[in-house]
This record gives sequence, structure tokens and C-alpha cells, in this order.
Amino acid sequence: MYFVITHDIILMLVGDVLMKFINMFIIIITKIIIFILNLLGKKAGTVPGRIAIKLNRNIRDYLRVTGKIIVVTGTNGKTTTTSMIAEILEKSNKKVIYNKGGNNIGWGITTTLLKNCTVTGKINCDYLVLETDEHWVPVIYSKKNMKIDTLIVLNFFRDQLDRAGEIETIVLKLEKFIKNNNCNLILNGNDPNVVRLGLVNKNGKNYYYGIDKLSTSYLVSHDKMEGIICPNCKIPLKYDYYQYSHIGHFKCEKCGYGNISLNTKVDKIDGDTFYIGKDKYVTNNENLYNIYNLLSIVTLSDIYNIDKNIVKDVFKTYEDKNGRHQTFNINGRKCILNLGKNPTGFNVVLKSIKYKNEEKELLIVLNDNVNDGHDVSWIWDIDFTDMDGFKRIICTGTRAYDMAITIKCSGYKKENIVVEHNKEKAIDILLKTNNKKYIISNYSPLISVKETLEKLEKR
Amino acid sequence: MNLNILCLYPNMMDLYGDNGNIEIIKYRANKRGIDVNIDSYTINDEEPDFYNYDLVFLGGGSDKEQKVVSKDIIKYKKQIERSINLGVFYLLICGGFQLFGKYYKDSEDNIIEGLNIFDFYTESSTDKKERCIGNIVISSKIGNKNIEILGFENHGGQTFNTDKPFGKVLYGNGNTFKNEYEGLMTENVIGTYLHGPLLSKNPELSDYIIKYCLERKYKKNINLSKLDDEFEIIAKKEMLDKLLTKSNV
Repeated sequence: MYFVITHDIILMLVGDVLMKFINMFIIIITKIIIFILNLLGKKAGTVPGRIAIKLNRNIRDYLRVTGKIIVVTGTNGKTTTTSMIAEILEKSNKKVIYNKGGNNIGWGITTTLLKNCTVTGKINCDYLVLETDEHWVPVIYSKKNMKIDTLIVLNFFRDQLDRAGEIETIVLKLEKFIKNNNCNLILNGNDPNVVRLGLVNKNGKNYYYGIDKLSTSYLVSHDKMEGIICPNCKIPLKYDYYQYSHIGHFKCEKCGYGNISLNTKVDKIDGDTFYIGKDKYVTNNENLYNIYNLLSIVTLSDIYNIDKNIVKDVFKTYEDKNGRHQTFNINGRKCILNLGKNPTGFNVVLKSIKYKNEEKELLIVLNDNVNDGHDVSWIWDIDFTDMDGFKRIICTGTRAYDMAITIKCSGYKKENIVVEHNKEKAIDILLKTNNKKYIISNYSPLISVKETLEKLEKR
Repeated sequence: MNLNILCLYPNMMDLYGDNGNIEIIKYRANKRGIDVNIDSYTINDEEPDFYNYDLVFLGGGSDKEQKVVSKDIIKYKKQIERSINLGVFYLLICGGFQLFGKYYKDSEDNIIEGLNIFDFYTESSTDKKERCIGNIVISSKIGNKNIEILGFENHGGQTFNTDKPFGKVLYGNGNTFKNEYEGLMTENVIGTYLHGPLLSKNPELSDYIIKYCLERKYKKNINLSKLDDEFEIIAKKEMLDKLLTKSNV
């Protein structure tokens, strides 16, 4: 059993000095727990922070950050964007603290903070870079000691509706937070849900990024969309072009909502190379959603005067080790693992592989744990047409059969669908044949699938 | 034979993959050699000919979208009411269901006017956290059989004054918190909070709708051939076992 101290009562009774001692004690305990977990070969994800918050729910108030706080939020791309920013800043000889494993809600962030602070609560760094779940931004950064210097908002897509709620709820929460705070905003200028946040940012500066019309842009969107109504006039927005889902160039014909000038704009993309004015960047993941994320980083490097050569170097060489676009070589077979935890994320990944002219098979992992959301109806928003390029599709995870139904009803041959609840067995089945392998996993099984593949790779 | 389907506002009222219901109807009809034509209607489109369709579908949306749709759909109240009386099948999910009642009061106390075709009304708590969320199982009379229908509910609105429910709640909430009943069902209208999508794990219900539409259209008895529903049956059984044993023990 934990003993719970309420901050206010202690303060009232014994004052500041004892509270300081108690907080020091909590920090030490947390550090010991992290140390023990690491010793046991376990990751110190959410547990230490959770215990610290149990002991004092205001423990974060005790911390002081010496550097600037940069926060990355949005539905898709937080983890990769955050670790690339950290790598760029580190290569620029800055002291950086960031949350590596994607532990992006209260407990996980508290773990990162307490792991990196002194016993007196001081976090010594040039930059504290934290990916943060959309709902948790107001919770964590409303206090003076955790003031955000720059907030990056990547995109808003529908995601785990039963857990995360509707996009509108999230946007309203963030609007309220931004109104009451004073920070730079780096915003995806091609996402109508994100651009809204710039309208209420009266105290700080707005920086927008976007991509010009490409040969691959659509005049009609075929994906599921969100927020296609003007927030001011409540009439449908007019799109010049779509890049994917509701990302594109939009405008309200009545009030002009969407008429923004972009601070960072890509004019041209040529395979793995994209151009911002005369500047040329090469990426190892040329998916459009990834290029959007990179633009937020370019914008950030403008604000903090970071050497563009370092940025370019990291874009070119960065390799995910977090199961997002991670490649494995198992017995001479190439196997690419990706995250797909919501329709838009899943669709961009799937679209980038299904039309490749090669012999290939696909494994899909679908769980319905708490952090995935118990509702799996979102899988019906995935575009499973034109799947015949895959020799087999193997479905695994707690909701493997739900996935199998969706794929079958989209017209893929039932005979080529294999269902196996057990993830290890499903990976075995996938690796039995000799062709290229793709795996798409939703949130909770991703890391264990990644670790299984890493073990197989070493064997 | 063919089925003529109208999807209302599919770009706005499709929050939980509800349009999958139509994909499923199409799949199951096509497997039996029945052609399916799907038209859609949304704001600024030309008025659809409601009488020309066998099945009309309307899914769920967020409060914001529902408000916009409400203003538009009310223009067609007469046509919709008359087509229901003529026997056109209406499948209405969540927000789409709410729009067919008297009104919907959202979480900010705004009244969104309904079509007022049925006597029920829906009110949300001003506390946005108060929602009926989770897996749900109801027992429903489909044709002559009582069957278990499985879905996922996620609604802030509490619907009152429904007299012909879609089913009796075996697990989950229903029309209001901890209600005995869920949805609304008449001979040719189903209004329900069940997402999943609804038809994905309830093939009997899909076939019931297809059969109804064809029998009405072709004025004869239709016997649908059996399909391979292995995935659907296992998926449903796994979830029912998990939910119903948990709640009864």
C-alpha cells in the first residue's frame, strides 16, 4: 500500500521545509525504483512516475528546468519527431533531456523528469524535449515552472475514439490552454484542425509549415476526413488539393479561414529528396506524413538557429529503433515493421507498400487493450482495396478475427487470410515463406513484436 | 436482382467506421449475385429521390457535424417520412438515430432540432465525461428469432421516450445509463447506438435487412444462400464469452 500525502495539508501543517524533505525523499525513491528496474533489464516507463505521483500528486511543481521546454503533440508522428529533434540538438552540442520510449502521458513524463533531476529538483539541460499526449498538454504545462517555449502540433486525426474522444474535444482543450499561455506555436498549416490553434494564440508567435501541390496531390479526398467544416462559419471548407486524409490546402470561401502564409514550405518532392526554396533535404523515409513531420523540425531549427547541415545530416541518416518504419533482416528475409494505430496512420503506411511490385506478405497485429482503445471499429476506415499484391495476410492480436472480417469484406480472398491469436506463432507463420514481409501493428503490441523480431534477427 | 442504397452525409456522419455497414451489405449481397448501387447525398448535392431507394443509411457524427447536418436534413422531412411509410428500410446509427427524434440537446445545452418522425428525444449531460462507452450486447427479435446483437456504444446523449426498442440490454448501457433497452426498431427502421460497425459481427441482421429490401422490392419470398461466416461467428463468440460470463459471474 502507498501512503498518500496531500500536498496542501502537509504545507498547512508543517510548512515548506518538511515538504522539501518529503519531495527529496520521493525523488530518491523514484530514482532507486528506476535503478532497480533497469538492473532487472526492464524499462522504467510509467511505473516510477506513477508511484511518485501517488506519494505526492504535485511532485512536478517541485521541479525547476534550466533550459527551454519544447513539446511535441498531435495524433501521429510524436515519437519519431521528438527523437529526431533530440538527436539534432545533441549533435549541435546541446544538453538534451527527452522522453525516449514514447511514454507521453502524466506518469511517463514524470518518470523522465524525476530520472533526470537532482535531489533538489533541478533539471539541468539546454533543452527539455517532451512528446506529450494531446490531453495531457494542459495538465503538465500550465504551471509556471513547466512553461513551454515552443509547442509543435503535428496533426489531428481520429484516434481511439473511446479513449481519446473526438478531435473537437481535444482542439477545445488546447485552445483554452494556448489562450492562457505564452509560447511559440509550430503548426501544420495544411491541417484545418491544427490551424485553428493559431487563431487563439494572442500572446506567442505562430509558425506554419506545409507542402505545395504535388503531382501526387488529389483533387478529391478518398480517405476519411475530420474537421472539414470552417470553425467560424460552420460551412464546408473548400480544398484546392489534398495530400492525404484532410491534409491539404483549404480555405473557407466566406471568412477566408485557412489563408495563412507558410513559414516553411516544400515546393517540390522528388523521391527521397524534398526542396524548401533552394534548400535540399534527403530523407530515409519518403512517406508524405514523415516529410510533414520533418518540416516541423526545419521550422524549429529556424527558431533556435540550429545549423541546417546538422538537420540535413540527421534527416538522411536517422533510423527508427522504435518499431516505426524499422527494418529487420531475418534469415535473409527483409521484414519491415510499422505502427498503425488509427485509420490515417494505417492508411499512409499501407498505401506506401501495397502497390510495390514485389512478392510480399503482410502481418497485422490488432489488440484492444486500454491504451489501444477497446473499440476497434476504426479498422473499417482503413482502405483495404487493392490488396491482391499480398500473397497472404496474417491477422493476430486479441482482435485478430475483427481484422480478418474487415479484410474479407473489402474483397480480399478469404482463403489467403490466416488468423492466429498468438503473436509469436503468427510471426513464425509469416516467416515460413520466402518473400518480403511487412508488419503493421497497433499501439500496445508494437514493442513486444519489435523485440521478438530483434531476437529472431540476432539468432 | 439489385439493391439501391442511399448513404446520407457519408463525409460528415461516419465517426466510428459506420459506413462499414454499407460495405458489409454490399459484400453479402454481391456474394449472392445481387448487384448493389450506392449513392450518396451530402450538403450542396441535388435533392435525392428518397422513394427510389431500398435502403437509406445515416451514421453518427460529432456534435459539430450533427448541428450542420440537422439544418440540411430537415428540408427533406416530408420525403423521408413518406418513404418510411412506403416501407423503405432506414438504418440509423448513433447521431443519425438521434436526428430522427424530436431534438438533441448537446453537452453545451444547444438544442439541435430533429426530424420529429419519432417521439423520442435525446439529452446530453453538460459533463462531457459522462458518456456510455463500451462493448454492448442486446437481445433482439430479428425475423422470428431472438438473437444476440454485439456492438460498441459511445454516446453522451441519453435517449428518452422510446417505445419500440431494438433490443433488451444484456451487457452495457443502452438508450440511457444502465437502461433495460437499446435503440428503436419498427418493421423497416432500425435506430441504434451500436457501432462496431453494427453489421460486422451480426451477419444474421445484415441478411435480415437484405431479405427485407429484396422481398419488398420484388414482392416475393427470397431465400438467401448461406455464406461462409467463420470469421464473424468466431469473433462474435469470443466477445460474447468474454462479456457475458464476466457480467454473470
